[in-house]
Amino acid sequence: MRSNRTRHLFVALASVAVLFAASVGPRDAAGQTPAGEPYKIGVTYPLSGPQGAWGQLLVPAMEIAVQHVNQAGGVSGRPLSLVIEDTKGNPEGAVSAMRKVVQVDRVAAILTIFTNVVSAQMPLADQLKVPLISPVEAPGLVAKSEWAFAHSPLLTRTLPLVSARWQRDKVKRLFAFFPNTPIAKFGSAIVKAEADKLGLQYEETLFKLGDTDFRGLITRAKNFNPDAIFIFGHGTPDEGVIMKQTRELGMNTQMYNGCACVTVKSYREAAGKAAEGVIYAGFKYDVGAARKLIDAYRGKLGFDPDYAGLEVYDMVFMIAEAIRKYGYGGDGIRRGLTEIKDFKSIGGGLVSMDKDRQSVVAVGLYQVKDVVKPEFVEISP
Amino acid sequence: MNTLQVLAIGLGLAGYYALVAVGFALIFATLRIFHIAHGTVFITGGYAFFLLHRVQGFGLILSGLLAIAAAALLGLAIDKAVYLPVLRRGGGLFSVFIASLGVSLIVEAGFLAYTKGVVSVARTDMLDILNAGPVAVRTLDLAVLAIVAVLYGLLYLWLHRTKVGLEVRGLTDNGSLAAVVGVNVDRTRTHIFLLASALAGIAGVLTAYDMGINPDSGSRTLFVAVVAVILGGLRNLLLGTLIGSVALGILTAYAGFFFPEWVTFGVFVTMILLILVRPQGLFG
Amino acid sequence: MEHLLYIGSLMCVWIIVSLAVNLVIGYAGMMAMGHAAYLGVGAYTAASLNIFLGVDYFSAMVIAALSGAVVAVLTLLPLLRLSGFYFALATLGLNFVFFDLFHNLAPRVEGSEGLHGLKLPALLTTADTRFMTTLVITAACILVATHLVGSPFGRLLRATRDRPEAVSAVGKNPTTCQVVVWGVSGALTGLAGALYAATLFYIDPTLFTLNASILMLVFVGVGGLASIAGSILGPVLLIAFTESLRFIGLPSQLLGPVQQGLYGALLIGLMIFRRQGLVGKHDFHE
Repeated sequence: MRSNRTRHLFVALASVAVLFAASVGPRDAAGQTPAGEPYKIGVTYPLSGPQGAWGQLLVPAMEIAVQHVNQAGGVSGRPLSLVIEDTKGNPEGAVSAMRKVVQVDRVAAILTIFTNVVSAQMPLADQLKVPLISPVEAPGLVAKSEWAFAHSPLLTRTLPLVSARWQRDKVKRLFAFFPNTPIAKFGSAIVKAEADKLGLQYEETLFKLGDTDFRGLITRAKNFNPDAIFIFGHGTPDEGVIMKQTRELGMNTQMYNGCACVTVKSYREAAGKAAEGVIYAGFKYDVGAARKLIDAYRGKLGFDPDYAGLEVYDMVFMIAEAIRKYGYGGDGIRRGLTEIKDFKSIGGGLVSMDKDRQSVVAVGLYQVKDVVKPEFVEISP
Repeated sequence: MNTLQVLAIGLGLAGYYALVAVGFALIFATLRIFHIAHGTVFITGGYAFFLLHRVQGFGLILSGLLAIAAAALLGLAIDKAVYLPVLRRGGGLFSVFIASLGVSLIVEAGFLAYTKGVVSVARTDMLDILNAGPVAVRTLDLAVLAIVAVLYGLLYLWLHRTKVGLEVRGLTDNGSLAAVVGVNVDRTRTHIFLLASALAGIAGVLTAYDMGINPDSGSRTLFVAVVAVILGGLRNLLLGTLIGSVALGILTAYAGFFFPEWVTFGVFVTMILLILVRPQGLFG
Repeated sequence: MEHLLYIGSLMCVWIIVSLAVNLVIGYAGMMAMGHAAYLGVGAYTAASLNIFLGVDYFSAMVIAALSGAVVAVLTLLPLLRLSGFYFALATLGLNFVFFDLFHNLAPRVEGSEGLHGLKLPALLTTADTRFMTTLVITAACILVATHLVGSPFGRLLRATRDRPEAVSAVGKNPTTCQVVVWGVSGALTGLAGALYAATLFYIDPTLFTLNASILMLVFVGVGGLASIAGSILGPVLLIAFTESLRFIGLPSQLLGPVQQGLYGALLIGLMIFRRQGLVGKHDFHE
């Protein structure tokens, strides 16, 4: 018995010694602080104005990404840094902001957002030879410029997951809401085609962004008496208000969303309890894979990042990788971005860039279980 | 076409318009001030309520009362700090109007900076609904109608049974004569701004609780209220404003149902037509 | 450097707009609160003609000016019988009416909210030539405006503003005067709209809201009513000031609200202390 106890003690002490040695062992190169003139990435985001919330929500995710890149040794030994300018969400501001970061601060690539802003910036990107990347979801938008990239889940990829569910739940009548913006044109075409394919009765309506009262439109939906309501927009809180007012007009129809917009805090807050049970398909958001980002973001802002936060986090890493491969310059970064294949997204899926500079991402189907915590559960189509 | 449902929605909206419009009408009728900044008083009430109740967690009634007080004080401050100085230095009513625009810009900029334009909704819970056939009515809608009825009743009593109310009516009928007869215009002015702003504040609180507000809500609600006032005319202030508000509520509800992208267009075309055809309103 | 040229081009555009607005508010005494509508008409006309019909941009600008004038006069006619305050309110209403028209009916380029992809002539493509061209056009507008206000018509205009009954007494029609100046104002604003589109490379309805009309009031109000110099001074000073805010470390997200708040404060300050503006010659007592 005495020898057993001694043996146990010896093993315990040895384990502790090994663990101790491992933790203070030689640091690998990844732990070294990057030094030198930082590689600057321009950020033209709305920080004020009606779209200002997006900037306030997404810029921190970019900053965390830069931090993580730098913590891992930077890019070829040099740190990354962001140069941020407010676009105010309108094209004039966007062009102004872009000119400043490119011509005054001399950045070699830009992170940007919103279809109308990107449309305004694309001719400038061509002229100034600066690649820009954004989470816009308008199909074919970035195909128009050799210098524009998009990292987002297209409706053509998310809708099949939702429509599989419609088939499963034997939906016969579908009503769709789109905002009164270009998204409606392509969104409607895609959804209508799907409805036709499944033989569903279909009706849709457009809502005005920034309105607070959608009950007139929802009454239209009530008249139609649908089995399913589909909402696809820009992920603004308006959609949350629509969900809430739908319930308040006495409709208990199952609601579906074409993007992971419920992950956005202001969206959830506008919807309140009405968002519970909503089924949506969007950017793959595996909580385990995104742990690093979630914890850092929670530390900064007090709540979890939304799906767009994951997208912009990826973008910073994509640009970093491009710089590593081809150097810091418009051409090099463009080449690097074009060649993205099987890039590991922070959300847990693999990403590749298609020939039109639109990223092809992993998507998932989820249901809102709890609005307050929040809690989203992945479900099968 | 679910006429009854749209009608129900319209009456609900009419309640908010009625509260904002009557304050605006009072100020315009008595002091001839086109108080565009009244819209910002409305959203201040709403935001104050949102901050106190949703963000800080204070109780419903307490937040509401404090928010209404904040709105009332803001309205009064605007008059004392902006309108009176303009008037005292020889500015006419148009100059006051421009100054009012200036106030709107400042207050809206403040809320824009703070909220980044995101809608602020003061509740998460679902409202109780009553289903009457094809129509769903929220208990909130009924409460709003009751509140409007009570407040209008009190306003009537105030205008016709109190001394201050008499003085206010005097100002409505003939401002300069009223001053000659000994009406304390300054004190009456204070009463008017406090009361009108409190009413707008109540509307703001209810709206924030109902559908939420964003920095645009102020001008949007205000302009509809203005059209309601033009429609109703100033001759019979309470009745005119009430009827104007109901008409605009129903108009905007129907417009929201049939052509939601043209609601603003519709409201302003109505305004222009009214100005051209019958600026004195229904009862003028 | 290119950034500065861009700011310069913007200043020129707003100088032309300020001239146009000052003509009607300062010289003619007509409270125009919705001129952004005409700016939009000019911008959309020029951009649409150029993008969809291939019209060369200089011709498109001329047509834009003409359409600005026509739309301005057409919208003025029903409002002529309105007195000062109701007139102002009606023009304000027009601003909103046109905004919805732009938003719902105006052409858009596939996939975006507005128009982009202008095919500009050489003189408008690179930043420095664009600035020079814009400057030349602006100078021409200043000359036209100066000539107009110095001419007998200009005196008639001021008389219409101050003593319309005297104008009728000498056998002239004040209304004709008002229509003409409003048309000229519309033409200048339409032209400015076309230049605006060329400077931004992109336009959409959000550029032509009530806020834009209020901006015009601020430029003219600060610079000075009934003053050509004021119409130049106002936009130059204010645009320079707000752009400089970007460089002194003001956080980018506060730039918009600060600018808006500042303009609000300026309006109030002007109305209390100096209604004629910096170098203005008319203090309106309404």
